[in-house]
Amino acid sequence: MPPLLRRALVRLLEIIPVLWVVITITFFLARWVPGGPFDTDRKLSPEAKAHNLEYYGLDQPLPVQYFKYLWNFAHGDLGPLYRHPDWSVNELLIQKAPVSAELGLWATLVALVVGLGAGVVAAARPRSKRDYGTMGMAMVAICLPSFVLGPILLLVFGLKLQWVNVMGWNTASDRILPSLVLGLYYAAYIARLTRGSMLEVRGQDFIRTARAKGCSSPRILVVHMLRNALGPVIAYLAPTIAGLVTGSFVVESIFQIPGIGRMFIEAALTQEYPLLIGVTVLFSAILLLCNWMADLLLTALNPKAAIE
Amino acid sequence: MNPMSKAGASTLWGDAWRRFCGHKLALASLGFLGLVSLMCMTCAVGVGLKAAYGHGWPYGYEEQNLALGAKMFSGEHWLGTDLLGRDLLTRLLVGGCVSLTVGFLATGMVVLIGVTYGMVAGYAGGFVDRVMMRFVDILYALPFTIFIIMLVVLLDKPVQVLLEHFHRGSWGPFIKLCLLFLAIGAFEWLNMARVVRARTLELKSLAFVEAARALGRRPWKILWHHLLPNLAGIIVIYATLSVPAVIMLESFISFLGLGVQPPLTSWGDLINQGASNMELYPWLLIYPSVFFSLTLFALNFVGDGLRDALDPRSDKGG
Amino acid sequence: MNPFRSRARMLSAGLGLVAGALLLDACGRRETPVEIANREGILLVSSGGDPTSIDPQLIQTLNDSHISIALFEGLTVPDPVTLEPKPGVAKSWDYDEKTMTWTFHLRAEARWSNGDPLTAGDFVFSFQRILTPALGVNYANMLYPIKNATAFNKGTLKDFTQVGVHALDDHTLQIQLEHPTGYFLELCYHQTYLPVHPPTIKKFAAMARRDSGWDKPESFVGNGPFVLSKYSLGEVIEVKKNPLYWNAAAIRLNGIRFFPIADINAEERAFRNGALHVTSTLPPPRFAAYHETHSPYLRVMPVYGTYFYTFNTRKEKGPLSDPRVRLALNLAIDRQALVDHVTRAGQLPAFTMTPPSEQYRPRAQIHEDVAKAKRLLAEAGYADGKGFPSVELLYNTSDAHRAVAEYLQEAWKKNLGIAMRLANTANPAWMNRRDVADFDIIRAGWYGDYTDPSTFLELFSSDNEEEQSGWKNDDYDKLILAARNETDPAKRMEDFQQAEAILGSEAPLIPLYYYTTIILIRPEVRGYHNNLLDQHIYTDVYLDPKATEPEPQ
Repeated sequence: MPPLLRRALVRLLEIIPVLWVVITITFFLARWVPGGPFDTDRKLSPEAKAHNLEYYGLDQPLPVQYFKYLWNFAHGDLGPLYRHPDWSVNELLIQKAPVSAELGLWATLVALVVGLGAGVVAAARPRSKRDYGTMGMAMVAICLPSFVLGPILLLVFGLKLQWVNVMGWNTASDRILPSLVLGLYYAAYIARLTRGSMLEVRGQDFIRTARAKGCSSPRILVVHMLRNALGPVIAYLAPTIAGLVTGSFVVESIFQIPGIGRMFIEAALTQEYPLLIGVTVLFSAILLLCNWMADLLLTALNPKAAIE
Repeated sequence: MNPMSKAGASTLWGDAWRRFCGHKLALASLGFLGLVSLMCMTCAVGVGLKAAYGHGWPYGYEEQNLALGAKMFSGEHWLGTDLLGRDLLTRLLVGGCVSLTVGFLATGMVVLIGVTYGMVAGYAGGFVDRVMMRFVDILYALPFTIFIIMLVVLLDKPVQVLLEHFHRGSWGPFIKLCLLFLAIGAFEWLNMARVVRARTLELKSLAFVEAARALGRRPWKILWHHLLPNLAGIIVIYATLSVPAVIMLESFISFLGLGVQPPLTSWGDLINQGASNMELYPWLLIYPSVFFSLTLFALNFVGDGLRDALDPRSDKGG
Repeated sequence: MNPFRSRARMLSAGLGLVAGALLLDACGRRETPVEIANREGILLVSSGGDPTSIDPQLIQTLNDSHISIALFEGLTVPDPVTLEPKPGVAKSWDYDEKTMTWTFHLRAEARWSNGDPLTAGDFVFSFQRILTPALGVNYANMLYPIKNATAFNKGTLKDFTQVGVHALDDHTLQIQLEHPTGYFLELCYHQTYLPVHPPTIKKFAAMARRDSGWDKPESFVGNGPFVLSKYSLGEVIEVKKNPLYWNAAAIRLNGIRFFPIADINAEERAFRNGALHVTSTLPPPRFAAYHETHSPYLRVMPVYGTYFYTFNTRKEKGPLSDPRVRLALNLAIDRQALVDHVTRAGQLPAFTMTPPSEQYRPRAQIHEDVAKAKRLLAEAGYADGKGFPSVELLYNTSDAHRAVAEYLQEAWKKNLGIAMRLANTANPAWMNRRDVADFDIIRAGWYGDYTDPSTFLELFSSDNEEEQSGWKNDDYDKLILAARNETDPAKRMEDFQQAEAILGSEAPLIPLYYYTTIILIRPEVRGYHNNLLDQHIYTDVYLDPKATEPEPQ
């Protein structure tokens, strides 16, 4: 087996022990915060609380709970929900994760297309009107976080013009605004990174060589500069995609999208330990896979860097 | 005047500063940032004086005027008032003080930890790199919110007790906020490390590094003299992107109730409040957004200037 | 021309076309969800956040109960306006004063949604389930007026046949009480008294289990006017008309969709976008706009609830253990200004703990009196706030609570010279600090479970588990106990008045205002009346698509 392929496979397998470390750290970290999942608006009587803790095994010593969790996890049982006992973590993830994933992928598409496009356009002619114009718009997009951009777009398109639904994830048009709101922010980052990185590459010798050889500008732009400048962008993208695909709390709340992003934050605030660990592991697995793919891409684009 | 009049030690940083000054927009932006910082600090001092002695800044940032409610502007309140009748200009400047301090604190930490970590990992390569990056992956995969909640909750009592001991109980909210941002910085460095490592990997294979190694230069010297200046560009860009990210993160944290405690405020908090009320009271959103955006633009141009100044081979032409 | 630029132009043009097509598909003659629902006879309601459960014995909040009363029916049902108990599953009842026993005669035609007849034994089973200690339902304390229910729930009594609820035959249910509970018939329509289907519970082994999942649409069985047809967390809970309901002829809605929208701004947008008939609340800053334009959608419902702050009176040497300090803090606030300028949602200022109702208008009121407040504070040793130790006002995170807290902070600073620290935490941490008594002054609220002052006043008797302030007063306890055993309604009210007076002078709390529920509701919705408990039986509700004026309240 060629060494690169072997290394890639080893890297893939390494994900498993990392996931185990993530589970462990999350498990103990979450339990360190005072309070429990049975604190309710109306104060729970000590007997009721004791019974609930006992039923879910939360009154047992921590190491016992930990090993029990690992055992169940290995068998595919991610545990119950404490505040919504009708549902289990498995059921919730199966229902809601695909929704967040779809939203995340649309947002990534927006971020890539708009971001790379803007970055390349700006770097083509630095310090021109086009450059400042594009980067100016990027800055505006960064200054408008999702909880501002969302309501603004909803106000215009949802309430004043009544063109789209303001909540839900049912029709095709329901996808437009949330993807834009989520994606434009990252598009701005990618635009800036791309531009900056490309400008750095621009000054290097091999670009001058290519120009001397008579390569046309767009070819230089895309083939030579972009290829070499993609490094930081790819490095940035890996965790970003993982984050986007596991849901965005703000966008899902504003648009009332039934994804896991909202539930994840709520789990963190309401001590839903199994859900917290479940989503964290999902996020982690996706992140590690994205990093793995990013590493492969980086190697492919710049083989010299990979040879140790 | 002889441009080489400062002949002799034409250092990298000296050249850089000269180049920076040639960049008009960057210089102007630096000036703007300085002006904003000065205004914010003046206000903070004035407000503090008013609280202690009754004179100073005309309005306290927490002084309510309920009968007045939210008004757009008037002779007394140049930028209007918020829902509880508090002077918006004062709150903006105090908020700016909080946001800027916190943004720079966190970013400083991000740069310090992230750059060092990324350079070492990228340069060392091999097994060391793998382990270090796995550590980054693990940290990145941790639920960020839980860590922040945990830190806030756990530090809440000890910090309060410590402050009371020195009779500085009222500094509590501000100190806790700073701790919170050091904590955020302690997470944000991960991205910086990753980006720096990627770049280091690319630079490592270039000719001048191999030459330095061949010459027998010590690794730290290589890192400091050869790699760092070439990384400066991407570091600066990422750092100037970090500051607004931190401020935005802060507004999200405040939205969850863990960040700035009222009546203290920050730009993120003001933007948050403005976003909820933008239809009826648009100025509550517009003013903080404009302040925030202008500061960001300024940071951007300063970043540009720094990058051009520090990158000896960046193309200045069209 | 630069070929790259033209390629980029083509790409952006293409994207623009796609986006435009999608938008075009969306706009044009867009039929709003409300228009579709009006046609189909479906009510679109916001339930303000995911329910804890569909199982009526596990739910906690008012919003949850709005779903339960669609799916289940108790012995009695409330009148839509007066809340007077009317026949539900029970068509009539008798009361024997000497033995404190109620005898309910159930309808023969009552049945479950799967066709099974509804019997008195089902109620006995249901009460046993909710009182089962292992199920861990603390709301079971609503059944404590029933003889021996407390002992069974606490685990000291193991034999449920000793508890005062028996099925004399399939259609006669007998309930014996511990003490004369004048409001017992009202309790019978509370969500804790709703029946569950025994065979289903047994099949899912759910007698002592919360997570059996029996209440999913495929296995759901209820006795209410609607049955569960869709249950998706974070998305929608849909119920359909139940043809086997004993009064199915009276149901005019074909179904109801409950949307668990947690973000109140998103909820208001959804209403204006034509996605909802009824919201669960309204963002306070928007109230003024709707109110001033006399919007036909605005509905202000005074409800039986109080918003207040509780003192932690436990700290021995602390300032808050001194009733003079507590009273001073109470007297230094202008509650009218609070509701007029801060909360601005039509609330009434609260000068007592218990809100006024038909039978009870509390006399002991705490009105603003800054001079007296200053005097009391000086008496307690903190003249002009000097030497007053650092005290923290804790509230759970929300814009509305924050505005109130900041107002209080400012008022105390201005009037008494006391610098109060503010702190806010997210809900669970806030509840935890309250439960472990780790607070100085904490924000609280209480909705009455039934319209009798005891639901408020019992909160401060020292044997109540929900008691948070650590305040104990023997006279107060005696009065509450006396009221519990009093059969003469007038004397009972007098006991409550005296208890209220003790609260007024000892001030273990700071009552601020009485809640109003403010919602937006479309004029097509009829039969949705205001009442103090915000309970709306859906058999009364119907949609009239032609209505343009809101119905008079």
